[in-house]
Amino acid sequence: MHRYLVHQETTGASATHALVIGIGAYPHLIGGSGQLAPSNDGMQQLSSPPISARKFAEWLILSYRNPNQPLGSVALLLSENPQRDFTNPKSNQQIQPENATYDQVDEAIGDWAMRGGQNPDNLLLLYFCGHGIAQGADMALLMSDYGNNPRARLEQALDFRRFRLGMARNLPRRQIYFVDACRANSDTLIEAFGYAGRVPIAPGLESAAEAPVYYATLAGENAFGKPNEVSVFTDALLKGLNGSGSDNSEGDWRVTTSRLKESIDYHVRQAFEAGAKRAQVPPTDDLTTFDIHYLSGEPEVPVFVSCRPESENANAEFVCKAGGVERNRRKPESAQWALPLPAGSYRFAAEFPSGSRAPVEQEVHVRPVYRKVLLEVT
Amino acid sequence: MDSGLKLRVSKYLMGTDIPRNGVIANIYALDPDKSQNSKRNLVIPVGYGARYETVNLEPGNYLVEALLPSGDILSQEAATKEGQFPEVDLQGEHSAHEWHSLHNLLGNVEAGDSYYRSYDRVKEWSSLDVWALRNPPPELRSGTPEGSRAWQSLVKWTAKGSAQAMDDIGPSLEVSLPNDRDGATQVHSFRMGAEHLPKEQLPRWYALAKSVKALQLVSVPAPWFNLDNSHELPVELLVRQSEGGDLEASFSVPDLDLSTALGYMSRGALQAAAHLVDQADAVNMLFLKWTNPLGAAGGAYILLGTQPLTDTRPWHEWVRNLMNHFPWLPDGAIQYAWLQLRQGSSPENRRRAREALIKAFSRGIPYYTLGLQWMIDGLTLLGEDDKEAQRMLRSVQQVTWRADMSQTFTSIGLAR
Repeated sequence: MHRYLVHQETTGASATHALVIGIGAYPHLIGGSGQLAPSNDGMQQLSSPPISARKFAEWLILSYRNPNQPLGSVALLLSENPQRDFTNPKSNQQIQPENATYDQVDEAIGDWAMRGGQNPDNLLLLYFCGHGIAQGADMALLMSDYGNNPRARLEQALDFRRFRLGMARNLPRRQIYFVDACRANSDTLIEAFGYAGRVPIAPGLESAAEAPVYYATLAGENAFGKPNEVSVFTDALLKGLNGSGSDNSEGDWRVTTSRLKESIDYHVRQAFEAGAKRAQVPPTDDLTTFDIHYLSGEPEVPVFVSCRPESENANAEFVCKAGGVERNRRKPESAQWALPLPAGSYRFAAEFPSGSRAPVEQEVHVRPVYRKVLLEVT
Repeated sequence: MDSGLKLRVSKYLMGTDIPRNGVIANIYALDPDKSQNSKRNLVIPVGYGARYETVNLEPGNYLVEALLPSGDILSQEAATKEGQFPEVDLQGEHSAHEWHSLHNLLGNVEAGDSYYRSYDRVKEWSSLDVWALRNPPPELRSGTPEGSRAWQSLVKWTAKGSAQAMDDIGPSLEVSLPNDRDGATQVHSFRMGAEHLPKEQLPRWYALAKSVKALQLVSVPAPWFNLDNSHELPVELLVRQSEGGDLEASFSVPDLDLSTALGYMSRGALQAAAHLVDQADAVNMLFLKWTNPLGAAGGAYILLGTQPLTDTRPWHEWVRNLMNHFPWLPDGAIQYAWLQLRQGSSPENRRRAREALIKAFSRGIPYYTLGLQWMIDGLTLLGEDDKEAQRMLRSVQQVTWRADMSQTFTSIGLAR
């Protein structure tokens, strides 16, 4: 297998090639093992990106299904402390992913773009999770060795705007970018007079590819959620790909670019509504509609069950039945009940063990993007 | 078929209901083997007094879903029988104030509970002032010989901070009194009274908002004309300060065809926006009637962002007309350049794009934020050998660094 690849499959004419990058260890940022970069902008070590990138790579290898562009390869670069192996969930092979330094990412991008460019009908996926700094339309994605050269501080950054412009003027005709970076506003870009990092791909002569970009819409640390967990954006992305972003307009369940956006918007909005700060950036660029992923079964749909009034949740035992058979149950708690369910019909009930209220139940059809079940308590 | 559902999103909008071109909705058939009865990308009205959209459906059970510009998704199950058209009211969220309601629908401000959670964290909100620039300094007037100096001035103001900007702009400022306000938010209304002016020579207005920390210059999307009767509509600015004094400035336009489409556009949901403008044939009307050049520019952004550009369509010519007929509107020239660049890298495409970008630059800052993005990308694609393009790129980039890219209309921070 080629360097950087953690998974490779033999496919027909056209294929999907993915490049996944997760960076949590930044030796030259606060808390890192190297000399602290003067341009650290208060940025620290991150625990979530390697976890999020692993999850996304695992999902691609195990679950990604696209008959028109089956999975051809997954390249993975991770920076974490300590570096750990990646276990390919299909082959069980243990692989030590390469560190996501700029030079290695540059090389991995070159390989990935070459694989993608071999057939105009290929699909390229790029996923990045780590630090980013943004100013207006410009965005620098920071690689793990960011700050190792104080005289040229953005040499270990990727100028994402120019990179995407360059890629979109090259084959293949469809490319998707997921950028899960905090996108902190930083004067570093202003002080660099427009230089936002290196650009590994120059524009070609092709007419513009369909190349939607999905950005994490939350600013700063809020983008990553809780330490040592999958980030808010990646969690929303995976929920979308697992079915929350799917529709069955063609008979089978498919995740399309635009439905995925609706799903990600919804799930990230939940985090925003919980008090996180929204970044001042557009959440999606160049969103045209095409199929990404075909589900092999029913989509998994987030379901939220609550009494009305909500205060009765603390007294209610919730029950979920499918086909007359009890499937899930929850003891009384003040919060609403959140559970993932395959699309379909269910009967939800609120029972009151204390006998304070009469039990209520309701038949509900569950389908993407999400379903809220309100049980009216009298 | 004599059965179906009558649909709307029920949300109080202070009398500015959107009866014609509201929000995107999907209807999913729930009965086994009836999935062919599902309907997608319908457009349904929004408001308390708004009419219902009648959708013919076979008798059966359905799940109705509305996708709001804010990103919120409303859903409700409904059943219909032969001869029946039951009304389905999808309940929109309640905003914190009635005067937040349209901005809440568009995603400019959160709904009541969430808003109050952050509002109540602050014991005493700092001052928030808004001024109108109805007669801006010459360099901020688009389509005039001085207009090309807009970039230079904005670069100076963003670099030197609020004192310099206030010195230069100060004599042009007029205090704007809010229609409504609380500690964190204010709404202001702008209407030029420009019905009698020739469309080829329209003035340009700005607004300036100031908190203890920030100074924000926003391009007012006026005059905004009603497509139906050519009357000018007032546009509404929501200014919001955060706990730390950061500012956000968002506009809503009470346009029956484009109001929500522009909301979808600002969060990148151009496909949803395109369904709306397709529904009412709105863009065709905008281009054909030339009643509302700013609205036509909004429609052109939506079309250029969603439709394949490799073949030639009638509206491509209209984009060129938008550039040629309205010298006060930088956006038309930006859109024409973008169209050329998206169609390929032939020398002829590049030459046309280059000329259009130079024209756009000379007209000043675009009305729409997307114009800033496309200007930067277009100038970048002209290449590093093109010294004039590089010089313009540096200026546009420096201004864009201070732009709030999440807004529909251009909003630039002059101090932070």
